[in-house]
Amino acid sequence: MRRALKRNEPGPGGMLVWSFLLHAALFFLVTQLNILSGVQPDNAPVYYVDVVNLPVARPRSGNPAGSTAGATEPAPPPAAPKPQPEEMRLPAKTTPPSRPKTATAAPSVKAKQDRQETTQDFEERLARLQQETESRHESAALDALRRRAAGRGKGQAGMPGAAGKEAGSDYSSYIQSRLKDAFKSTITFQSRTPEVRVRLTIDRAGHIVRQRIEYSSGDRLFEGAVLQAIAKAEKSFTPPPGGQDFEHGFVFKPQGVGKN
Amino acid sequence: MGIFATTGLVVKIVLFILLYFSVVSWAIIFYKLLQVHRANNESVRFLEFFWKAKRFDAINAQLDRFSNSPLTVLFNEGYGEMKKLMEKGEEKQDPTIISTELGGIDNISRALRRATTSEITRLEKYLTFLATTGSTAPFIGLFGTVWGIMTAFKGIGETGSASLAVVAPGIAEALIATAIGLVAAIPAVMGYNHFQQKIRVLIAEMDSFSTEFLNIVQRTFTGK
Repeated sequence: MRRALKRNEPGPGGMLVWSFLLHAALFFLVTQLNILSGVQPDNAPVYYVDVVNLPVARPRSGNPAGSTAGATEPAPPPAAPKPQPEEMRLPAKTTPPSRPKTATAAPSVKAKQDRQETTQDFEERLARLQQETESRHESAALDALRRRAAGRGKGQAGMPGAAGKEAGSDYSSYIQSRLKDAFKSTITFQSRTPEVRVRLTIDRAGHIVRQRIEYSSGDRLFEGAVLQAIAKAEKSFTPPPGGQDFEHGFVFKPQGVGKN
Repeated sequence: MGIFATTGLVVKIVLFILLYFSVVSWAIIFYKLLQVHRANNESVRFLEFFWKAKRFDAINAQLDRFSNSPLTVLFNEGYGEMKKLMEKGEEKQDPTIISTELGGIDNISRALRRATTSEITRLEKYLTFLATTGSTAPFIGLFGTVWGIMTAFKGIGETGSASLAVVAPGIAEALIATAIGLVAAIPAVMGYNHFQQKIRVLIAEMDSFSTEFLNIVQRTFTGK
């Protein structure tokens, strides 16, 4: 007689559980190893350059402005500027690239004024002029460094060591520029005019201890971009000046980042 | 993780559909791997046992050992039908002769054919889902991508800013849908082709076993 055979194979339901576990494990791996992070645009690293303001030579006297700056300066410049000869007014001599210009411009002027001068005299004078220009540059640079060192000892590389009164040199502007740079790479939005206002609290070590969204136009994508930008920018923050916590509001719009 | 969180609603729905397709098709692949592997193994063992055994009764008593083989089912059906015919013959005083009045051998043949069909159906069950996944998942993913890119371009149109920083994340998110569509489709197509080939071999084995079984029955019981 025909009989029913006993089969011992598991149903597809059990396999569904295994399959689900496999997918969960894969998802976990992908997110942990950040495999998909390469999909997002990765910008080249941003280098911040600290610009040293060299004193500008006064056109009339040819003296560096720094050398006459206040009585608070502790040390006099090592090579004191001498009274300049008449022809020294003409070349622009404050920045290093202009130095070759000095060398070429001087003879042409001189040639017009004094044709009787011998070549030897001219070369001597040229060498003297170059020496003077170099010593002036050195003294100006030293002066600037000395002022920086003497004025605000807490200044950090990469940010102005000012008291926060100069234009563009306060800490909030510094944070704003970092946020702006980071925001350029993360910005996405759906609505027409998205806006997010965030209040950041930065501790004395330069880490964000609190971030609060004070206002949002409701664009989730934009909010996500803002938070990503803050997280990205935080890596480049330096501690606030004065060893105190810092708190400030920032406004994020598609046009950029502003202070609140 | 971030790239999934920031996608739009439509792209998210597309991703979930693709995830469903992928989970189910992998479940089917695992299930079929096990089923076809067992069917193949037990068929080989059953055929060895079948050719060594002297009597159908002895084979019938051991059938449960090879219950996953389709050949076992064929034998069970054929043997059951043969028994019935023999009982008919017994009523007519000759128990060893299968009644040929109603075309006895044809009855067994029909029973074997029916069993073959039901076994093919069992083996091919769920395979259509793999075929569907293989053919539709890339298109579903493509739909998600097209939608995502549409949204990204709409954003550009609304703001008037067309910098790469604005466009690229939207497009990257959109392309994830195509990638996942392909991830779901490729194993499904490979699995479908693999199982189709394995099942074709099993069908051929079933056909030849049916023929052999009928030959043996005809030789032994009808005396032809």
